[in-house]
Amino acid sequence: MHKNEKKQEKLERKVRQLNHGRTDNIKLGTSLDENKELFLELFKNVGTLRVRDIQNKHGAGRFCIFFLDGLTNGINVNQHVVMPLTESDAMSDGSICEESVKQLLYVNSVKRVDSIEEIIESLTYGDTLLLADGIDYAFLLETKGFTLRAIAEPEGENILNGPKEGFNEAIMTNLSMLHRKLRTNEFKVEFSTLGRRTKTKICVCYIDSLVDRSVLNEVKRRLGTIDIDGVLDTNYIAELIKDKKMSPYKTVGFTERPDVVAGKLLEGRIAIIVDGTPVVLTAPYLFIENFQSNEDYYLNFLYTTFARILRIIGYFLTVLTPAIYISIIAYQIEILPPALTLNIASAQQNVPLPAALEAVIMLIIFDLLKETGVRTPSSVGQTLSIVGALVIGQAAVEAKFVSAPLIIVVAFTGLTNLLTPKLNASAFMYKYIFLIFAGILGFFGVIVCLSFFIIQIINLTSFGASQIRLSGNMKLQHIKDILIRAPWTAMKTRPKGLSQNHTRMARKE
Amino acid sequence: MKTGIRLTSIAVSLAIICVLLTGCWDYKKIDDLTLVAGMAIDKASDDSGYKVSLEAIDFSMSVQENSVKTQIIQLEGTTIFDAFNKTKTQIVKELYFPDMQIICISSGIASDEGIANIIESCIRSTDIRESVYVIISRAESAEKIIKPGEGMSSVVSAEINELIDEIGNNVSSGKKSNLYKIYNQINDSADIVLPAFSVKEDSPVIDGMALIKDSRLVGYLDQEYAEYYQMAADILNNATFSFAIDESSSFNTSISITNNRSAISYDIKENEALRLSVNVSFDASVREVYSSADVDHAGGFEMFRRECEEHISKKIYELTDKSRQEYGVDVLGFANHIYRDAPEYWEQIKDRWETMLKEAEIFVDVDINFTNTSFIS
Repeated sequence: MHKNEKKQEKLERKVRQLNHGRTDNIKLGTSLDENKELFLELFKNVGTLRVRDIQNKHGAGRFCIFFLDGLTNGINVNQHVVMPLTESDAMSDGSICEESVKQLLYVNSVKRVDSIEEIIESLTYGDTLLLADGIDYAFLLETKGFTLRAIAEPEGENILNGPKEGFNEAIMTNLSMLHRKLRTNEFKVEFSTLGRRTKTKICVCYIDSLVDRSVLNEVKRRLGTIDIDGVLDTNYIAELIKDKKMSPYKTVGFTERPDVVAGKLLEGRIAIIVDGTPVVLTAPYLFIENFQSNEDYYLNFLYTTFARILRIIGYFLTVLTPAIYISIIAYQIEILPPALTLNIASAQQNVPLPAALEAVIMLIIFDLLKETGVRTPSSVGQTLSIVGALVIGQAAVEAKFVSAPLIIVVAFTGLTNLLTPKLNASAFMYKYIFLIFAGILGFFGVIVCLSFFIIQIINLTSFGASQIRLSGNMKLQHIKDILIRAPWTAMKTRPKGLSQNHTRMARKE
Repeated sequence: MKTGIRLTSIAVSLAIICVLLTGCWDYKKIDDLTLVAGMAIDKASDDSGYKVSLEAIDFSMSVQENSVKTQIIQLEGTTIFDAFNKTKTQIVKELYFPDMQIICISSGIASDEGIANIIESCIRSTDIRESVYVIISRAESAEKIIKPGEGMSSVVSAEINELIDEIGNNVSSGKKSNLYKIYNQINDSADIVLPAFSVKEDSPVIDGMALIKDSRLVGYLDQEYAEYYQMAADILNNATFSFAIDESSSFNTSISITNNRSAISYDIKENEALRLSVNVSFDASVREVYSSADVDHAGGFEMFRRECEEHISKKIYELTDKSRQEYGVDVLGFANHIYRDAPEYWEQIKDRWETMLKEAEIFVDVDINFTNTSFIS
């Protein structure tokens, strides 16, 4: 009894040490039973752990396998691990060595491991641990078999034309989609792990001959500095490797579409894929990417050029419309034509609040409605839109709580805001700042604020490089994908400053 | 982070400085303004100043009845702005003038004390736009023009404004009379032709042209001369106009005019007499013909053309002659033409200009080019 207690105490101490990351002096022993007890203690109270002892039919080898139920393909384990081990004649002499196990088992990979930490990491990711008697190492067998969401079109990035598939939560599936699009050995995929507890697999992808080495090194350096408990989504990483941590602008791109990632890789960018989320990061990020859409390249260039210009105007309108409206009706009424003065003035009659305050409140109400809409199950969504449209729109105007022109301005702002979802954060923030300045100082305030706004946009960087390339030697080739989307025949080079290799299209003899 | 804090503090202090030191804080509530659409200026009842009537938008009525209603605000004062200041003792929201469309001056004021004072104080005011139109009232009071009766449903001043805007395009009267142009003309001591309005069946109508000399109203030219005046003064763009070639008959001939051009010139004859000429030419198409000439034949049509030309030159001569003989007014602006063409000569004659004008020979030449006869053969 006493001896058992002592042993138990020793085991618990080992587990405590392991949990605190002190793994140096804890190694696997040669005794199968001791190793088995260690793992049982490590996974104490983990209900999904399955343990099986296996004995070779010749009675020579004793094995034990560990796997987590639900993460592992059971049939795979039975047929390709348990059966070969029990039925094999190779171990009739009782010797177990690395080579013999590797030859014996019918699984994708058999890996010899010494580190307990690594074993835990793999075991929780669907691999099977194989312990054998008489050796001081273990084998990890790849038997992953968990269910995943099917490949579907990403809801946030709908398009009419072009590839419809989207990433899902499994890093390997995502990589397979990229591999199918980039069938070259130059497509490099470098794995690493992030997150002390989540041990999330992340992967840096690039095309070897196109990528800008200095950016690649900077990405790797910044990834290397991350020390975080868990990484559940790419945004954890995006914010940690951001150029300016407080800026509302993005310095890395986000997408759920493999075609977009492939396109960006082909322009010399780097992609960061994180396991467990369908969102992939791309870097470096140019400011114009906020207005680009993958569909721009799948539809007629004239139409998409027009659409892109609309998006750019739309963003500035989102930020400026309420502010300009307030500046006009509170400070510069004279610039309105008489008929409009009359309309606005009569709409403003008997409305209790001053227009500027009214605008702030209405914008908040609109944002509130929008936020509610995003978080509401679709079955309630219809009720919400009725409440929003009727109560906030019509009833409020009729009850003389707010004036009708302001509702139009707010609705217009809401509409243009939807044109550039990638700039949501900055549009959200700046429209209030502009509005407050307009309310205090009128057009003068708007201009002051606009100066800060533009200076800030011009100063944006992504991985050390400027997001807006305002260099002296602007060539026509450089703007072919900026304000306009030139036809493919004209886009002979890659975007400036992203890649070492500029030529996209070579003449074919 | 340090630069962030510094930038923020700079921004905040700039904003505070702007607010506190520059006095930019002039937030206006648009609903606290009285929108003035038009202004009519009459003599005060006791003859000691002005009675100013303002056509203002009445929002309380407008909102109730869902259409634009106006009210007349009446103020009296020794000067116009004295009158405005008195609104501060009445229950009237702050007056807002930038959208004012017209200024209507009563004939009494215009003929007795002249329009110079009024024009000058309006142009000095920062609120009143320089482009506002000035008209002369031929009705018993200027107030009647902007408040002709209960029949008018909308903003009267705005309708008058639209009417004046169309001068030269099927609306005939004097020139468009923007405040700043009149101000310049007064400064040049030129003779001015303004649109005159009177009230007919409860609505204001254009009724001839007011002739102003030395900033005083001296008389009117009747509406029948309006089109001819526009042709001669080169302000006609497109118009269809009717006239009776044979003045005894009641049948009218109509032609529509495009490309009207006119030029005035002068010659100095021996014994220093002046010969003033007006050359008018335009393209025309025929609408209605009531002529003794047989227009179906080439020779007959040529006769018709000559008849038209003669008629128009006769009328232009009449209006020029009438205004110079009766009122001493140079309606077509020969004086200004001579001044620009030969300033030294103008210096010599300017003191005896009035008599010279009355004695000068006036020659009118009209050239009609019929581009479309509207005849089939």
